[in-house]
Amino acid sequence: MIARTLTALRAQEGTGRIVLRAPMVGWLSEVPRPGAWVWPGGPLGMLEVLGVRVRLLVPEDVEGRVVGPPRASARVAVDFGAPVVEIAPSPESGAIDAHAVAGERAEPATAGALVVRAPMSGRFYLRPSPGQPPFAAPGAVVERGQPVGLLEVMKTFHRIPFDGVGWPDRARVRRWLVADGEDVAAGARLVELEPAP
Amino acid sequence: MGEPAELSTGRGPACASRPVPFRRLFVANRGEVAARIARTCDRLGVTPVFGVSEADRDAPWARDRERVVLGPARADQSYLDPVRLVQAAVQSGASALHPGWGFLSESPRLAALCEVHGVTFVGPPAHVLALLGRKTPARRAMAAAGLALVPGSEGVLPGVEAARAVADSVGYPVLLKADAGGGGRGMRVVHRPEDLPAAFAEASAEARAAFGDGSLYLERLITGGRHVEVQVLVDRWGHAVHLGERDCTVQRHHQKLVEESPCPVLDPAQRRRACEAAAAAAASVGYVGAGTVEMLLDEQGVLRFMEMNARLQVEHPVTEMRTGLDLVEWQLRIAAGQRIALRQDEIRFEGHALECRINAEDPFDGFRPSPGRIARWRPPAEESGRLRVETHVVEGYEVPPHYDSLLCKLVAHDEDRDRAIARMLDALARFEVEGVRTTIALHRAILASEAFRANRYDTRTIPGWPPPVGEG
Repeated sequence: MIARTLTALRAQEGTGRIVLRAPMVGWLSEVPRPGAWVWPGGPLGMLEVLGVRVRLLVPEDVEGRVVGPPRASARVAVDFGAPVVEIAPSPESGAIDAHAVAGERAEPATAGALVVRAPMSGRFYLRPSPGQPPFAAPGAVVERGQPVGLLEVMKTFHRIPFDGVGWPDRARVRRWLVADGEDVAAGARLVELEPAP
Repeated sequence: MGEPAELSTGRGPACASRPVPFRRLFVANRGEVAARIARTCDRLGVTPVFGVSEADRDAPWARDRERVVLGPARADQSYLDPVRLVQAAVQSGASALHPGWGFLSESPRLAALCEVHGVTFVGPPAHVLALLGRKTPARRAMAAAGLALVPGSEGVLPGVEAARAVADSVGYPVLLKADAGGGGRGMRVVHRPEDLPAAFAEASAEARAAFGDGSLYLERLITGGRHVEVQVLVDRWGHAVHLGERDCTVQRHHQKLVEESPCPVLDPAQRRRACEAAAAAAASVGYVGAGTVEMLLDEQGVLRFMEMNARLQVEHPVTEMRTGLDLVEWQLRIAAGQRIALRQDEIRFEGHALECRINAEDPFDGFRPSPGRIARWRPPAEESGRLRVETHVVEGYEVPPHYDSLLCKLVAHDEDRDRAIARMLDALARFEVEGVRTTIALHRAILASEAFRANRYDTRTIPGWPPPVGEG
């Protein structure tokens, strides 16, 4: 039997980058491009094994931005253990990516903060539509999976939930880190929260 | 490794001059057999692509060669996963797959998967592997071709009463065996009639758990005797020839240590009858490729069929030295659909050949495996037609703990048995290994022993071992 989903293997590089590796031999395609955001359990491409298309998934403890390598769109043959993508992890997923943090204009996060980041670049909104109350204003308590904003990417709107590996079920919004309607890059810090009882 | 590609059988390739149509051959195995297959590939201009586990990523046989990493060191996620092997063969552009020996070499599933995905399996078709994997159909085919069987049940036993009737007629002790069996599972020795019902229930339950089939058959237990096997080749057109026999009586725990050809105790009429029957039997079951019919020469001098091995065997160079044929080349030609361009009477047997398996084991300590780094490795030099060194090992190689212990095979060939033994003893004396324990000392003791030279041994005893106190 060939499994329909497989989780990529991870290896930590000396630079703090995470390299995700193929867990199986096969034809690899649809790998996220550099700049894309990947998250635990999210898609990492398709691996074709003897005619069966196997969904390749991001491991549970990995979240971050794809920084390499550039990849042709055609499928390529990979060995077991071959590198699939290199990821600059988000601070919440373990190793701090100093390069990504240094470029940001927001003041450093307070200790114990939970920071929701943009999974893709786009325009970020704090309200469902103009004139309506915000998803979660500072001081409000949100539960896991509840939206804290809306990201407009190529004319489509994506709800950005309060969610992350190891995060508590409930959190209080401390502050907004971007203005309503601001253009944000992939991985940009959007909303800062703190665990709530 | 690295030596001239020509196999030193000394008589050159006595086979068809047509090129082998495969350009790329996937090697679904490791170690000595991978290196052996590569030797023939190099001579024929075929590019080998090695499937390797992570533990073998930088192994000497795959160095500077094409390879695909299959999975982690664990064999069940690398060399024993047919999906990974066939996918690796497909994605590396190989048109054929050689399974070697051990691992999945006799797996109907690997053969079937190859067929489905357009890769030529170098071996018999899946349905023949499935047939030979079941003991009673193979027994029936061999009996029909005129081979004697170990006395026992006609086929699968319907129940314990039938088992009792057969056991009474052949006499105790008897051996209950799983029809779908192998590896000693679903097997019970029964010495007394009153023990039969319990043994039957146990063996059947064990067989059902191990193979999904609790069917049993029964044979008289034969202890001792000599292990004699016949090498056969059958092409896709049903033409079968035999390449003579090998004697593999020197064993420990059913693992062969020394193999030789011809068998020193077989008379010519008996040899001829057994070899011809083996070839006919293989053809009758639709066998394709190189195979071996294993027999037991009992104490009354009767050769009885045991089982057929549907693959190349470790000891095949013994046959190559005597016939001048390259069995791996013939496997490839047969897989590609070429006819065996030889009649039986065109196959010539010359002299006497002897093989010693050099394992990473300590013969002075119960054959305990001895993995580790080989600090010094100086095998004797090959001599065309006289001495072959088959190995994947180079100095500095780290013998991994995950796989079997075979390091090297020495094969000596000379005019007669005594000269072949002398040649082998000389080669063993020149073989220098440091870093791991090996069976070299064991082989020197066996070949020098009076018991070996006078043929006073059977499968239960190793001639000349353990050495008399004060000499070890």
